[in-house]
Amino acid sequence: MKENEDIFEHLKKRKIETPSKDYFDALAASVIEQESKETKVIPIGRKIFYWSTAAAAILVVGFFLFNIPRQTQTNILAQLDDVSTEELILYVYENIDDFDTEQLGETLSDEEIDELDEELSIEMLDISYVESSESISFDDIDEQEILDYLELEDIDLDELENDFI
Amino acid sequence: MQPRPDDKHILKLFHQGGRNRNEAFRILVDAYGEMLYRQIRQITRNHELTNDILQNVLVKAFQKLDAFKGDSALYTWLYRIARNETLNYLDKEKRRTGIDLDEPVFEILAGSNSLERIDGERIHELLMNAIDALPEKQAVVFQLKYFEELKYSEIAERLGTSEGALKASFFHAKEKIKEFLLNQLNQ
Repeated sequence: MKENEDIFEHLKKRKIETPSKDYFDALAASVIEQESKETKVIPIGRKIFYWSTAAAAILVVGFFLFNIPRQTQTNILAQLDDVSTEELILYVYENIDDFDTEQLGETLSDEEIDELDEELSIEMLDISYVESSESISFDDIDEQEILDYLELEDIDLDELENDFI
Repeated sequence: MQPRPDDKHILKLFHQGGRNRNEAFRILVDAYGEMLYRQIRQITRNHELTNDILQNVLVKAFQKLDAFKGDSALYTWLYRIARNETLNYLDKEKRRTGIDLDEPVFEILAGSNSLERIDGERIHELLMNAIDALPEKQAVVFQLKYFEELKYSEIAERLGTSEGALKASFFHAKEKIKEFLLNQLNQ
């Protein structure tokens, strides 16, 4: 090939055909679904305790709203009107072991969880209980105390580490 | 024909989260999906591989878009993810063995005496290697100008660069590709 030759003048490029718009729409939907599932598991299973509480409260309210017959739901909601959000969160927090959040979550569709998340998560995080939790400092606790606590609670340190990696 | 969605609009919508995030992602795929598909397929030359890689690219884009600071145009950022993902995928998996490949992207025109002894497969491979060796900015401009056949004004709008700078980038890209081919073919 000569030095001053323009190789592009000797080439013809083939057009690459692309699939239909439906293919790209389906691809986008598939990624969104996949990513939505992954992000939903994290707040329920691994987030620190006040997040678990807020998530559980969202799920409990959601469970009542979407799974109880409309007639009964009205009665329950009428009774819930007398309970403040703070009291509801506090109740869920104190009785967290009584709730199986994953099971509650399974009863809701993706859209319902998204809807609840949008409507309730900001409100839940805004209450004074969460604010006070955020102000907790671990600076005053020494390492040995943390290790003693983990041993007392029978928490495996390696397992805990794997959860956060 | 609908106007092309603005990158800033996509990012703003995505950062709002919830349903807006999903809508932003759909707009992004609508705007850039086909171009990314062609970019990947011109290297893999196979739909199934392209499909797998494009899916990986879009998953990464979805996961990392929150951290995207807008230091480059959105297409440049996506181009980079697609290029890295394609090369890593093919390098790690060696998945092009034993599968049906498309025809080479390049065909040598009849009467090209200096290239008559080179087949389409070889010239395709050399050109892909030459493009791969380009600096990212030049590679992006070459992709949009040569393969996507966009006008300079359209590329300028997409990349937020002046037409003069784009013309210079395209010229330099072609010169580097020619030099690369010259070295390879005359060895």
